[in-house]
Amino acid sequence: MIGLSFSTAFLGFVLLALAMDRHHDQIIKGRPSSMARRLGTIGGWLCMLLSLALCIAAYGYSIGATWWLGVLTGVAAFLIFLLTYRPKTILYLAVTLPVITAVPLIPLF
Amino acid sequence: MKQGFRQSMSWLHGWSGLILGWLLFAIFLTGTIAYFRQEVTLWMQPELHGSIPSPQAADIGLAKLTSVAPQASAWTINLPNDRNDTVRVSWQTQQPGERSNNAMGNNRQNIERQRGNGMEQTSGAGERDERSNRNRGNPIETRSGGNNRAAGDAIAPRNIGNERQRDGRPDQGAATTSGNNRSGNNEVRGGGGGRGQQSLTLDATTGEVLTPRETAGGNFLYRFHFELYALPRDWARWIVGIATLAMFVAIISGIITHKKIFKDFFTFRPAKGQRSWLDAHNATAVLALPFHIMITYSGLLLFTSTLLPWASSAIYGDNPRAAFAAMRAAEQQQEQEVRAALAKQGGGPMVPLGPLLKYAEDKWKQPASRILISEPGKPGSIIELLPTRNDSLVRQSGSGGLGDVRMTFNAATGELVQLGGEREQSTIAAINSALGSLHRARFASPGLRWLFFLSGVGGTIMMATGLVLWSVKRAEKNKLEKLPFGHRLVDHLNVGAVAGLFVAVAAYFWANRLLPVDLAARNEWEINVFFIVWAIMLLYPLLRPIKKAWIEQFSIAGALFALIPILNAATTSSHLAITIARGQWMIVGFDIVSCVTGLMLFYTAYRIKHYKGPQKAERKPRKAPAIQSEMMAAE
Repeated sequence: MIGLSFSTAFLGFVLLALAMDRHHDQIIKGRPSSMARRLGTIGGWLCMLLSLALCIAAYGYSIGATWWLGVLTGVAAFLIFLLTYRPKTILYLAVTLPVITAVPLIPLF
Repeated sequence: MKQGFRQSMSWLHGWSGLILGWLLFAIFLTGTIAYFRQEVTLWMQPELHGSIPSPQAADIGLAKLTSVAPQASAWTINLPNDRNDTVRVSWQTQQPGERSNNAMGNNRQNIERQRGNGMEQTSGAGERDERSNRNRGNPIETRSGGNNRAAGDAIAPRNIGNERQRDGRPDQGAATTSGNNRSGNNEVRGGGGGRGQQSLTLDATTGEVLTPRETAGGNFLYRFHFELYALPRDWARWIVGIATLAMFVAIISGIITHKKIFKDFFTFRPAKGQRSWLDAHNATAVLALPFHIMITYSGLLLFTSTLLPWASSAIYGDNPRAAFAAMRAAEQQQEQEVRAALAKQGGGPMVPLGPLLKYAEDKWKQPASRILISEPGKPGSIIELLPTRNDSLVRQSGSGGLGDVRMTFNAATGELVQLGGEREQSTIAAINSALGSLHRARFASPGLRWLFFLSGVGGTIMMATGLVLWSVKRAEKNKLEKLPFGHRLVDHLNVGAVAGLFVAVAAYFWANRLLPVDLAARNEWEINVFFIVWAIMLLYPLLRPIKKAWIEQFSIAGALFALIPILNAATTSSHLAITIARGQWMIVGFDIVSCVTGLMLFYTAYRIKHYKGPQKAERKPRKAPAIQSEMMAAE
């Protein structure tokens, strides 16, 4: 569950980055349309909330929230590294990581 | 007007950051390592590396206690957990005739400790495991006696609630007696509960008695980060407290100064001089901003009793002892009644520990880490279990950083016993506990601990880049032939305080392996090496040009850290190939993190060496000029 929390936070940050001029240009060239900007912002925040919910589900409120902030720090550091040195891999990771981390949770349903 | 405000904030940020920045860097670096201090201590005691946790650990401990201390009034077994690979047993001996006194005696001791520190939750330190981490050569240790009512402390009060009082913080009384021996033999300081207490460290598989070398281990770095070293305790706490306050000012003024940080959240542009330093400073600041605010604010709270001693007197009046005494007396009264009732049921042989441990683990969803047995073998004997960690922030960390809940069993029947109630907490007290918990991160499981560590690394880099930025900014602005004295002094101190501290920490670890094991006052020599090396590194830039000094010190630190796995392999039989095969991740982690740190320091040295200064073409804003010029204006 904490793995999925990491990957949804990553997806969330990527969506937020796609809503920004500079980072949109780094990841997929060009400026985002106003629609893409809005979708990126809303989607990004929704992913963040999902990530928080997963942390709380796994560890309870107080420690879950602590985990979430730690997750955000770790994931954002990773994204900065990728944006600086490997911007091409970002989209690929943003899509595949949530899928990979969701697989172990399937037996729960 | 707005510009004026931003500029004044920028000024405040620059100077509040600079003046105490060197100290704050040291606090951040050592404090970050302190998140893994038990692991560091374990690495520094290779005599313990052969111990592998086994399911029989509890029985091994029990068997040893039965054979060496059958008459003891209380037994403690510390089980292996994810931060400890050994079994540590300790026992209390009790003189006849003291028992009747115990409640009172205990109260008095307790209150004396309270006095030293104001509120228990607000002061920052000692853990029970410091005591338990045997640091001395002598296998069986007697905790300093000398207090005739001390042994009475061992019985009932020791087991309930009292530990919480005793262990969550440094023991003022003992600290004065152990004086300058602070970071070493912590069991002396560990304090009140330790009187008349003896302990042994056992191999968790074979039960063999282990004798670790004398070392202050991770505890030295831990204590240094809030009490420095060899200074009177109050002075040191004041100094660090003021630095913490400066940090808080720097964070707030920094958010205002670099208001673009949220917009440029993900941006890092390497090898562009001031721009890159600023990016790195901003990124590490924003990424871990919740951590920075939390750690600074909670750090201030932990110093409340030092910085604002009036708080305690406002609540508890002129005689806080009386208030605590009344509270404890009520709890002990209740506890004594329960025990008296148990004693009437008669004694008997003790039930096996296995089912009790299993029951607790099922209930807590985490294994128990400590077993307390009072009055073993006598009527009224009880067994108490403590979980490995708390499952909520609002609980104070229990003794030794373990959880603060207990599960109590009748030792003769294995039935659950209800002992006392939970102490109620006001909202403010709960917030205080939560912030204290967050600062110390004792509730954190290994995964979360790594995230705390990562945030701490971010803070350390933020301090270092901030210090460098102060200098780079002025150098690029001035373009003077010869820098003014003050600027050169800052550059000089930056080298010694940043790169030099890395060298000193690495040297501390090397000293641990290279100093003879039987050297007298060995643990102090390790610390001496740390300070001697650091002093040399602080003087070093006097002899070398600044750039060369940076490169050389980072290279030395890089080499020392990167070679730590090899040093470990050369001096012990627990090198990486063995520890990985056995799954001893604490030792593996130390070796690998050290090596990676070393390589990163090397890389830093390499980049400084080959840095040609800002290139003209690169300095021109290329993309998003509006954003960049705004950032420049924000400087």
